[in-house]
Amino acid sequence: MRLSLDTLVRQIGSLPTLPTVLQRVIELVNNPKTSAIQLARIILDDQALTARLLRLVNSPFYGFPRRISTVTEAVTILGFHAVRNLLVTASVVDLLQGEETAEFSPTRLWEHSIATAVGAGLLARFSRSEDREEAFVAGLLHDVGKLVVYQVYPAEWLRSLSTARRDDVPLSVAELRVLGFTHDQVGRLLTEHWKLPVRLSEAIACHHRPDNAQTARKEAAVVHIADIFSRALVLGSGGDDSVPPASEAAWSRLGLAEDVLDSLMIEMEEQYEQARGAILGATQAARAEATANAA
Amino acid sequence: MARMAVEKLTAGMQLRKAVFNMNGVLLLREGERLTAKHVTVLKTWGVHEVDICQEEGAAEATSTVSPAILRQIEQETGRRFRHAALASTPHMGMIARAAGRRLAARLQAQEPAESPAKREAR
Repeated sequence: MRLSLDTLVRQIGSLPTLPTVLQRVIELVNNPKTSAIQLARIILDDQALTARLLRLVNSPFYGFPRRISTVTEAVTILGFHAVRNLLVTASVVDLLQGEETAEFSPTRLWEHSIATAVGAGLLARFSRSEDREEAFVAGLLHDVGKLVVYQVYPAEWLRSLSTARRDDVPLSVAELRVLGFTHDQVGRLLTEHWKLPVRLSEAIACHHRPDNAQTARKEAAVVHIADIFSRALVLGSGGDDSVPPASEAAWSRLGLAEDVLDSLMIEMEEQYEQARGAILGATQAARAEATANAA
Repeated sequence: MARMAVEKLTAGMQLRKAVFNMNGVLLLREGERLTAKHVTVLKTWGVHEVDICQEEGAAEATSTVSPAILRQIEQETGRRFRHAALASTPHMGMIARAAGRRLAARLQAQEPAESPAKREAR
């Protein structure tokens, strides 16, 4: 069967779905009539999600000045959008996983995505964007399309990677040859399916071509440059190891210059370690404890 | 400032920053002199790197990058930026130089035996 984006769309039911509680949270956050109590009650129904939210919100990476000990506090102090973004952050890594192989490592892709998220947050701050958390989540989700393709069409995904390596072409060129579509298109499909905000979806869809963005041009520029920084600094791996060219318009839009790059990159490396600990740390600690108990 | 991989820590080194586990619980305080037991605790909690105070002599020793590391970084940069039109786009040159300085600092300070290519392959 020849693949196309249409075949993937027809298989929309096979795309990974968010936990029901999180779907409900997204619906409630999208509805302006929702109250803080309603939102908190839905989250509290799920003990595991509640625990994850509180652990993440109190991790050194988020570093809120005081400890947040209840969901109601989180909703009222941080706001609806921040809580939704934290819940997506806490859930998505477990949801989109796959077999670790010599050719492709989902863990290394998540490390790359966490570095891009941290970079996007810093670039949003640098360019005085209003919503840094949204930039963080857009960075975290920018490559989810790769994991979806790996889950739904694993053989074709690995062939895209090997084609990029063998022919020394950018991954997007190899994807078009093998799959007939690219991971940024799949990212848009998935985030729209999940009913995440349109600007977030567009930033993800346009992270390789930020000048094509219609409504979220700055957000797309932030994720585009953060992805390039993350690759240049070798933080995690996007599956291929080359650094793509940065759009000059995106570079100018963010007001970047050579004299700020060193401090931005040092901060990105430091925050990356903390964010990796906060987001991937739970799984790693569980493994370390299992090893210690076995010894 | 020196970030150091937990595998490379030795007893007697001093923490520049406190270390927390992923639940935000304090594992070791800022200024603590490390013992072998401390290093085991960090490994058990899955901590990968910590900030170590640089002794004056060590700071001087790492303040200049060795020619071998510079050559390695140049080769890596040329390889990694091969699709990035470095020659014709000034902003890509800026990114490559800044990232190169960070990779050199990492190689010099914390990973003398591990190249970015090896890190990538992990």
